[in-house]
Parts: sequence; structure tokens; C-alpha cells
Amino acid sequence: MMTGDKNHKTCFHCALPVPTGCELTVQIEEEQRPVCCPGCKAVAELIRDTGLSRYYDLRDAPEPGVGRPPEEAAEWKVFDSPEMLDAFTESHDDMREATIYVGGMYCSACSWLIETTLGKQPGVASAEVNPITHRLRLRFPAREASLSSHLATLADLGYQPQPLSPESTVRPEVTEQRTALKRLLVASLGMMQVMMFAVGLYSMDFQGIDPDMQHFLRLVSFFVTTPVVFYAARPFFTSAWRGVARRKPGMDLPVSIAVGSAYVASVYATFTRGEAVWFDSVTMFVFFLTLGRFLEMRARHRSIDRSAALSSLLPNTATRIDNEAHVVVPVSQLTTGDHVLIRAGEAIPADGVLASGATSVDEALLTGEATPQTKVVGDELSAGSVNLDSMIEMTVTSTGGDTTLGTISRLSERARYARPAFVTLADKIASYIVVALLVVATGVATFWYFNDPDRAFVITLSVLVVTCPCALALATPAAFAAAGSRLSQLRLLVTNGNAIEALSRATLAVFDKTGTLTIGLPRITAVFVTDNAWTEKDCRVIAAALEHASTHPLARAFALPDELPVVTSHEIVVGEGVRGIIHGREWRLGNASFIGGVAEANDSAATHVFLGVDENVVAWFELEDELRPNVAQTLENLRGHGVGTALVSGDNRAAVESVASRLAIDDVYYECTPEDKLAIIEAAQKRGEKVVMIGDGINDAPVLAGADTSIAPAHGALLAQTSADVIMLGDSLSPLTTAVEMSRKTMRIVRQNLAWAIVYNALALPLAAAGYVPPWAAAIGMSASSLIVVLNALRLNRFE
Amino acid sequence: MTELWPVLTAAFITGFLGSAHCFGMCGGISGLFAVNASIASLRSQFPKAIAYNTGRILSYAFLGVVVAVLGKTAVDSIPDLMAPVRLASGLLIVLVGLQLAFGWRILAPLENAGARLWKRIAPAAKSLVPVNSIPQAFGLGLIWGWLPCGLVYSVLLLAATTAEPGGGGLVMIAFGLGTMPAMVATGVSASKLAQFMSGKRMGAGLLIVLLGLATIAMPVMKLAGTQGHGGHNMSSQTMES
Repeated sequence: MMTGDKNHKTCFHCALPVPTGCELTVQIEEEQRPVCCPGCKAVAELIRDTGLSRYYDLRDAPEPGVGRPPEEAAEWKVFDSPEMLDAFTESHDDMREATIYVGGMYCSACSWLIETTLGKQPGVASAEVNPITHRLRLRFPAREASLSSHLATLADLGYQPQPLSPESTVRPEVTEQRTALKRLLVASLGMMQVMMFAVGLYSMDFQGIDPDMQHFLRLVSFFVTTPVVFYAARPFFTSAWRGVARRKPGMDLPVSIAVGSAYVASVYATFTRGEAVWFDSVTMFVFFLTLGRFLEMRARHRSIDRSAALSSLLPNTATRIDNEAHVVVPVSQLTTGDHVLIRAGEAIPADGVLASGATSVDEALLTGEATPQTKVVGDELSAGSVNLDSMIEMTVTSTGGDTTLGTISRLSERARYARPAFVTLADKIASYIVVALLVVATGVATFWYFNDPDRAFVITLSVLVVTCPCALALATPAAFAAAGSRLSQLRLLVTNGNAIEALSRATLAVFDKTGTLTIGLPRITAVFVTDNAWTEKDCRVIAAALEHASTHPLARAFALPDELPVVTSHEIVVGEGVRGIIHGREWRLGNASFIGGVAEANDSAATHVFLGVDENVVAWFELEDELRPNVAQTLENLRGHGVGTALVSGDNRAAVESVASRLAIDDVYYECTPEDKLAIIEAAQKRGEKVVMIGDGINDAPVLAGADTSIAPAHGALLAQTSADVIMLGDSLSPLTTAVEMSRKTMRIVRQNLAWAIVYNALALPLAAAGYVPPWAAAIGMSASSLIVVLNALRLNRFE
Repeated sequence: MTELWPVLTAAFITGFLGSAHCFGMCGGISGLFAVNASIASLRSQFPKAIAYNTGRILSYAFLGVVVAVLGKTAVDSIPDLMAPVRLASGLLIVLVGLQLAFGWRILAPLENAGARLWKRIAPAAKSLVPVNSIPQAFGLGLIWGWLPCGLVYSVLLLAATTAEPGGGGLVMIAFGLGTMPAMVATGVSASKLAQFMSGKRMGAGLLIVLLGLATIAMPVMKLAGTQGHGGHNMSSQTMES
């Protein structure tokens, strides 16, 4: 960190103090800048000459407070109130610590810039930026109690600061990862060092031993290995002990025995000037194990990073309209029914309904839909999407965890903890394998003790190391973790651990119709006027006027014309239709019996809505629900993968068959109750089919639960209610094919991994037991084997 | 060959802790990599960072081999030079340690000479920036190894005293490996590493000093050992070569 010492110039390039007497300068943007050494001068000139001076702009700190619109500065003042300080900072003794998400960071130059600029501000104890997660940890004395000036400074620098509340930042996986990285670092540095010494020791074995030199190298190796064993390898020991205590020995037990005994034996040999030391094998073994675990953990965490990114989409403050006055409040204080003002470019703070204005919003992160969505009054808006075009007012309908965004985050969370039965089984088996290995190792030790006691220890050590069932234990979880995170990138949230395996075996896909194969938004396909007193246009206008206030899904089919006649005595009759008085006559819109007339033939593919006046039918509308985009192609692809398709629906025969014939679905069931649907699925399962049910599951949760696995296309309000194993975000059904392909690939990789682990162990164990494998080679063999397994699993991340 | 290990260790630690300086100076290179890439693709920068560093270390190794050949020529042509060179090697390690511990810039004059050399090489670097491909990153690394840098020059001197082409190359590789953490540290919290290293400079510098002293003491110890064990160590390579 830089000091504020004014007596010293600091190097323009590297920010270190320029040594006295050094007169080197470099000309950047018309100005001579001091540099500290020829090296910095050379780099600075190179950067300038390649036209990348922007690099320095990114780091240049403008004067605080300059050029800042006052109304924006006021926005940060909110964070100075005691409630906000409590909500967004943590108190430690007399210091407060705030975590701030810094939007708009590019690279390490940015973190450098932020740390230096904030570090120089009065009242800042420390500022640390993590360039990966874009998070700034700011510590300042509690009595200073002003967060706003620092936020304003960050905004001045051109970043978008967002204070994060402690709940959202103290994420266990971050700590986990940081610790794991430290252990990996210790293990890798230790390994590099010890390997260097080991080469020396081995070369001396050939060249003749110089005991003093050998002792020296062994001593140094001992010093370097000790932190590797006691720090980097600690998780293995604790986990092994936990396994023993619970009487369920895990794969860490043989690892711990091998590391522990090799270390103790080596230390003994070092101080008694014994025959051989195995520090190199120990550090290498620990390094590769740690590396394997680290990679596996990265695969697991990747999906979490995404959900963390989701929660960072929310703004921290919103502009609430209280009796014409605009008040900036923290988002957490918004409640249902509030009116909020959202300017162009701002993120929408809560779920709500557009109350005034019209705009387009970017919902890409929520639905995967890349094109901006046009929104008019009455349309739903989702928290976390971005208002693109113009200022709008919104009525809040749900906040916080109840929003779509909150639900997606929660589902992602659930997905993370989903543990496939397959993995649990593998864990159980691993337990037996570990016991078997220990028995074998004891046998080997006994045999060699009686035949060649000098080699007994080395050989047993090799056996323990080479047969470490790490590959076996990693084979499945690594693959599932990688698959889960890749699927979530493809906008498929897996909330049940068994879904991937079930999906890979699917032989029959059963679809619901409305809202699944179709969008769920009907549109008028034909108007039949039966009373010549009225034109088609009259009928449409009157129907639109009647439906205007209705919330029924069919209502949206009647697009609003410019001018609507006035409706009085408007009434909605549930299950029947709507009625109201227009120009003194009573109009009704609804099903045939509601109008009072005789039912017209209703055996066609579409839904019919009748319009009547004074109990006489005037016209009827034919409504049809549009198919989702790419449905036909998706079903075709599924059949190409050997998955049959069936359609079950509660709708009438004609409507269902019309859809089925357009999509070439063979098995069609119509007018089904949820019980019927469940019976159909169970019948298919009796025939030996593995059934995947695709439906929104709002009304038929038992049906979803009855299938081998279930997938729900869902967004908006439906998300929270669905109980499906896999949730598809967005409008298209095509991720379905991806899900099936992905699940099969996952299972293929799991099988490859298991096969590899078994073959490797079957080959390595006899060789090691026969004494052909020295410990270092055993460490390499075992590590290579686990790395192969993890890397093979990580291939899933690249799945298209 | 055995005496190579203290030298290698010294080179490695010097690289590791000395690279706090490189942070400010060369850490920005990762910034150059990122100019055309969003932060999201940071992971894809990693292979480039590795290629770049491999190039850099190769250049160091080349320089190490060259100076070691010079050293060997000197030792071979002047028969009694071997022992003084060994002593010099130990003293140099001590010097490097002191330099690290107290932030001295003993070799600043050499940096100016290096800067002149760099002027001839720099144009080649310009065609490689911004770095968009792995070969470009490798190429840039090769060139970067020639950047005028006092730290590199001190370790090069150390490499020269090995008077073995292979040994000189190894010393520079160890040094290069030591600087790796700092150079790829954008992935980790770079600033934390910098803080860590600046805090440890004094201690590590003194550790290197001790290593240097041990290097000087080793032949003396051995001499004593040889006499004590009555020629037990006749096969020792160090005493003969």
C-alpha cells in the first residue's frame, strides 16, 4: 500500500517510491512522469507506444468530489443512517467493516486504483479489493460512521458501488475456497522445494554419498515438509478421524495413514541418519490430493458464483413515491403496494406491475431471453431486470425472497445441496473398499516383514498410496457437480440430485399441453358473427371492453383497441364469463350456457368464447393457444434420442388432437383428471418405461412426483410453486434435448470414471504389493489417476 | 553439483520475494492481456499467463546458460579460479539477501546498460501487444525476459558462478519459478500476496544471507569432514572438480 509521503515521488508505472537521485521520466499524454527504474520506463514506453495508455486512465484517480451531480451524491446519503450502517456493515470492536460490490471493474489495475484511492481517504483503516469477485472490504473507525463519502468516491472513479449486507457476503464457500487455495499454495511451494532437494539426494545416491550434504538436504526437506503435512494435509487427517469416530472409514483414512507414517518414518530417519527419507513422496502426494480436491471444489462452486451474481443484480435503493414526493429508501424497506419510480438504465428493485409509462426491459439474466421485452401498463416486471428505455412507475407486488429473482436464487441453492443417491451409494461402497484396502495392506506388510523386513515399510507405504481410492470417490461427485453447474448455465436448474441419472435413462417424455407445449396465452384465430346486426369489429371492441378488467388468462387474447366503450355494472362470474352494460344493453361474454343460447357445436380443436346481448348469441370467437417456439424440433430431437413422446391434457379431445397431430405425437390422452394422468404414468412405468413428465405442475404436483423425473418450464410467479426436479427458465423447450444429452453424457463420464478407477486399482495393487512401485511413483500414479477422473468430469463444463 | 542447491534455493526465494517489485511493474501485463477481454473470461487468460511465463523463464534460462558458459570459460582458462569463484558465489548469495532485506539497488548501473539492449528488442514486443493468442503470449514472455531488471542481473551473476551451463540455466529457472506466483497472481488476490511479501522481505532476505553463509561454510565443513574420516569422501565430486 502506498503512503501519503509527499517528499518522495512515486513511480508513475509501478507506484513504488522513486529512489533519490533517480531522474528517469517517461512522457505519457503530453506529460513527463517520473519512473523508478529503467525497467518501469521500458514497460511504460511499451504500453504508450502500443496505444494502450488507457491502462493508466483506468488507474488515474481524479480529484474526489469533482464533476459529480449533486442529486446523485444525495443517493449515497441513505447509507449514513444508523439503520443502514447496521444493515450493511459489521462491527468489530471499534471498527466497522463494509463489503461493497464494485461494478465495472476490469482488471487488477482497477483493484489497485480503488485500494490506493480509498486508502488515502481520511477515515479509512483499510481497503482490500478482490479482483475476481469484485468485492471491496472497507474498514473504518465506527465513530467516522460515514459510508456515503466512500461510495461517492467509488462512483467518481467510474465504478458502480453496491454495499452488500453481511448475510449476503459471509458465504461459507468463499472462506472454504480461500482456505483451500492457501493449502494448495503451501503444498505446491513445499513440493517444488522438496523435489529440488530430492533430485539432489537421488543424484548423490548415484554419485556416492556425502553424509553431511545429505543430512543438510534432509534437514531442509524436513523443515519444508512439516507445514505441508500439518497445514496443507490437515483436512485429510480431520476427515479420516471423523470417519473412524463414526465407524465409517472414508478414503482419507489410508491417505492419512500413508502421509502420517511416511512423515514420521522420514523424520526418524533424518534425525537418526537412517537409510531413506520419503519427504518427496509425502509432499507430492499431498500436493496432488489437494489439487484434485481443489479442482473438484471449483466445479462445485461454479454454480454458486452464478447465484451470487444473481443476487447482485438487485439495486440497494429504490425511489419510492410517497404522495408525489420522491424518497430514496433501501430496497429492504419496500413493501407490497408501494409505488416506485424507475429511471431508464436502473435495475428493477422488486417484482411488480407497470403502473404508468411504457418501456422495454432486459430480462436476459432471468429468462435467457436476449431481446428486450416491451412492457405496457399492466405488464409484470421482475426484480433484477433492467429498465432500458424510459422512466416508469411500478406498483410493487412482491419483494425480497418472494420475487422471481429470490426464487431462482433459492432454487439454485437447493440444487447445490441436492445429493444424488448414486453418490451416497458410492460413499457407502468406498467405506467397504477402504476397510478391504487396509486389510490388504496389513497382509502385504506381514508378508514382507517375514520375507524381507527391510523393504516391508516401503512396500506397504506404496500399496497404501497407490491404491488410495480417491479416483473412485471422486468419480461420481465430480461429474455430477460439473453437470449441475453446466446445466444451470444453460438455464436448467436441477433441484433434485437424482434427476440427472433418471433423465439419462428416460424412454418416454410425457407432456402437459397448456403452458407446456403451448405458451399458455391464447389468441383469437377466428370470429363468427351470427347476428347480422353487428360487424366483426363491433364484436371485438365489445368483447375487449368486457374482458378489459378481467384477469382470466383468456382475457389477454382480446387485444385492446384504441377506444373502448364505457362498461357499467361490470361483473365477473367465476367459471362462466363476464357481463356488463354497454349503451344500455346487457352484454355477456363467456361459455355457451352463460350467454343463455343453445351450445353451438363444440368439438373443434379450439376453445370457444361466446358473446351475447340480452341473452341472444351475437358471435363466437375461436381462441387458440400458440405453440412454444421450436416445440416440433425439440420433440423430433427427443425421438431421435430414443425418447418416446406422449401428451396428457385436461382439455377436450379436438384441442388435444390438433396439437398432437401438428407435433406428430402418437400417445394422446385428453380430458384427463390429475388422477388419470398419474394412472397413465404408472401404467407406462409398469410397461418398463422410464418416464419424464414435463409440465408446469401447478395443479398436478402428484403427477410430477409420480414420474421418474419431472421438468417444469417456469418463470414468473409459477417458479415458486413448482415442485419439479428440473426447472427450465425461459420460453423455449429446446433445453429439454440438451438436458437429456447432458444427462447421458454425465452418466457416460461417471461410468468411464468408475471403470478407469477400477482398472487402475486392479493393475496398480498387485504391482505395488510385489514391490515394483517405489513410493514416489505410487504418489504420481495415484494422483494422475484422480486427476484424470476430475479432468474427465470437468469436460462436462464445456458441453454445448 | 551438490552445491547447486543452496544457490537454487536462494534464486527461488529471491524470485518469489523480489517479485513484489514486479507486481507494480509487470503485474500490469496481465492487465494488457485483459484489455480486449471481459473479466468473465479471466479463466481463459490462464493459459496465456502460463505461456507468457514459460516464455519469460526460457529467456532467463537462456541468459543463465550464456553467463554460465562465460563463467566456465573463465574458470577453465584460469586454473586457480575455482575456489575463489565458489567463495564469490556464497558472497553473492549473501549480497542478494541483503539487497532483498534492505531494498538496496546495487546493480542500478547495469540496468541502464540493459535498457540500451532493451531498446533494440522492444519493437518486437510492440507487435505482440495486445495479446490475443497463446503464441503471442509466449512471444511476449520471451521478450519480457530481457527487460532491464536489477533483480535478474543479480541472480544472473549467481548463475555465472556455477560455471556449468546446465547449472546456470537451472538457477535462472528456479528464479523464474519463484516469480511465477506474483505474475499469475491476478487470479488470487494480488494485493494480498504483495502485502504478504513486503512484510516478509526482511526475514527472507536474512534467510538468504544465512544460506549464503552456509554455502561459504560448506567446503570448509567438508574439508574438516574429509580429514576427520580419513579420505572417506574421496568420491565427492565437489572436491575434485
